[in-house]
Amino acid sequence: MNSINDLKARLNQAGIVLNEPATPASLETPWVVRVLQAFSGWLAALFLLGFVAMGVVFVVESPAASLGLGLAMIGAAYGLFRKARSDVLEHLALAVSLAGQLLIAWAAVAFWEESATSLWALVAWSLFGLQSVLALVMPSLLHRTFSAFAASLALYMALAMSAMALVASGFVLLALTLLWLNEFRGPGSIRVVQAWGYGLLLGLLVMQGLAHSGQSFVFWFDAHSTSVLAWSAPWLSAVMVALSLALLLYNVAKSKPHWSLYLSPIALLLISFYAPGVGQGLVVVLLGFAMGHRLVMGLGVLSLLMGIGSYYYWLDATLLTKALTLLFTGGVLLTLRLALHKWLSIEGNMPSPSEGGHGK
Amino acid sequence: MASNRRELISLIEQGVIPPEQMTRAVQASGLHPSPRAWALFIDRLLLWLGGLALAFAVLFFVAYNWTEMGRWLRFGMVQAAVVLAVGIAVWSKATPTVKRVALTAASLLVGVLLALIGQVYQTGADPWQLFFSWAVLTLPWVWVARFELLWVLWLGLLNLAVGLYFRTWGGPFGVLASSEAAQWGLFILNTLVLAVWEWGAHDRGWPQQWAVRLLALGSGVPITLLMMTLIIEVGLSWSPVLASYPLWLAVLYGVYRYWRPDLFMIAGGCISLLTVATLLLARLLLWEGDWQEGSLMLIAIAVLAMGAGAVVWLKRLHQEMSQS
Repeated sequence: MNSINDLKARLNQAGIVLNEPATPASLETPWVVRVLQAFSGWLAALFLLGFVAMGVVFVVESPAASLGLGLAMIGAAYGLFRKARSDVLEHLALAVSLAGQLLIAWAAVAFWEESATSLWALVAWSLFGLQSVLALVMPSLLHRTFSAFAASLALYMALAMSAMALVASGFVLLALTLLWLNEFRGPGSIRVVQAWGYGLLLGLLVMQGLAHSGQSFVFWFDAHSTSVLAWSAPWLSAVMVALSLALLLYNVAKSKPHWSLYLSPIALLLISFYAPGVGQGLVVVLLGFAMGHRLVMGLGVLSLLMGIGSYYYWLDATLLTKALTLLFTGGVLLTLRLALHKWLSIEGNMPSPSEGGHGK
Repeated sequence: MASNRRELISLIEQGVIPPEQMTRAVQASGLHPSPRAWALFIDRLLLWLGGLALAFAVLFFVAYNWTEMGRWLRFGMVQAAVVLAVGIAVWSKATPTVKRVALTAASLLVGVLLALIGQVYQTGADPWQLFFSWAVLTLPWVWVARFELLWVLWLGLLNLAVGLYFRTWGGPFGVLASSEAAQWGLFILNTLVLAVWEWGAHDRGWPQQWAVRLLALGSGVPITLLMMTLIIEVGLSWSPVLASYPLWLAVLYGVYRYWRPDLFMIAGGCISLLTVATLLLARLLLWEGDWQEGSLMLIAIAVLAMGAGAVVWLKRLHQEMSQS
């Protein structure tokens, strides 16, 4: 309560007239409870789907029936979410919707199977469309998070079929940067924007994990994916990472940061070309710091570590070249820090020895 | 990084802040860092990234295994890097953050040095010996650094060593399958460290939050996997895990419900129990039953009921914990 009162006092000082609360303060559901809800919903959906597959065999045998039942289940889930005033109903709605989505995915595979061109690309684009619509319309924050996550993975899968997987992670980073920067656009949309933002961030981490393990959806489905535009993927990805940082800096410029920050998109463009994961991780770390959001920042650190890890496995350069590049980068970064200390007199801003880090 | 984001959102949602004043309120709330905070943050980011890039440069160089370069030169280079890092850490003018970066880099470089010994002399040692020696040799630095992240990295090394040891040699009496022995090893190690860390947090003011939660995951995941393995392989017949798992759940509940209330830990226990119970139902109704569609529906309903029940209960606990 003290922190609320401190904040109120601070806002009053800034000349903001505060109203009496229109609604009582509700306790936010902790994220770990939402994880449990999503996990059990997903698990229940799998058994529900098994029941449909075994109990009503004709449904899975016919793509049209599968699609029809899938859409009906999603419609029922939508209705339940609108009416749900209890956790039990919300839970049921989530499981029904997830089972419906699996049925639609099954129908998409059966429907496009006859297609001579890339089956999995068509399936992935269909799923991307479905998940994007669900992320927009489903009246449940948990569902929106899940759909944003699933949409980002479907996009990755679709672009991976054209050897453009890198573009997907760049695009998702750009989208999540735009979302988080517009978190406080309207009082009614804060939670929705956060739900999408978390979903996309989780999607980005999974994409980096796939890149790190040297696997991709391409490996699983189609070893011959190519595209005439494949050569442009690293550049497009690097440009999107740099653009995300530029947008972030434009937003931060309102609080007058140090001028040296403006040089960073150019440096990041180069880093992202050779080590996309590193560039993406750095942007997420900076984004989390700029918004005062510790969870986003922590996930950014994880993303950065995965990016550094995948650099080791990057095949276009020998380990000797990579070692020399790291040596040069490390030297430049430390020299830059020294220069900031010496010439720009940041010393006055340095933390006291007791500040930061934790004693053990 | 102190943040009042939760309070700000709560005020906006309650309608306390007029919608037309929202942008001004966000600026006035101090949610966005000041130029000074940015300067500090960039300073630390440059220091950490620069220090780690140099340490990784040495690691990548050794991994390249440049045979034209003499062994003494390679050893000399890595040892010089270690001495330089430790030198910076003991330098009187170094700030606490510089010392932490230097000791983290030095700890990484010890691993590189051990890998180089293995590379040059082809010692034939098991991988667990590398990680164990690495952990033992870096312990003094980790101890003096008094830095949470370095402790967690060190425990990660110890986990690797213990996991690899039991995977290679099986259990203490050779009666356990090697992967099961590794899970037992990790469970015992992480549970002991968790208990020590909780004691330190209570009596010595050690930091809690994420490190303790990571350790709880290190304790919970192996025991859950052991329980799942038991159900899959033999069902509910007698095994030490049959006694350990309920005991672990009970202690987790007792400690984090009453002694040090933490919803994360209790929710983790719920996820573990939900997984184990679902697997048990699947074994009883599907594998030992006859795969009827009714059984699948029954399990779906059971999972829904357990999940919803857990969510309702955890929300109530959350309310209790935030009021106390």
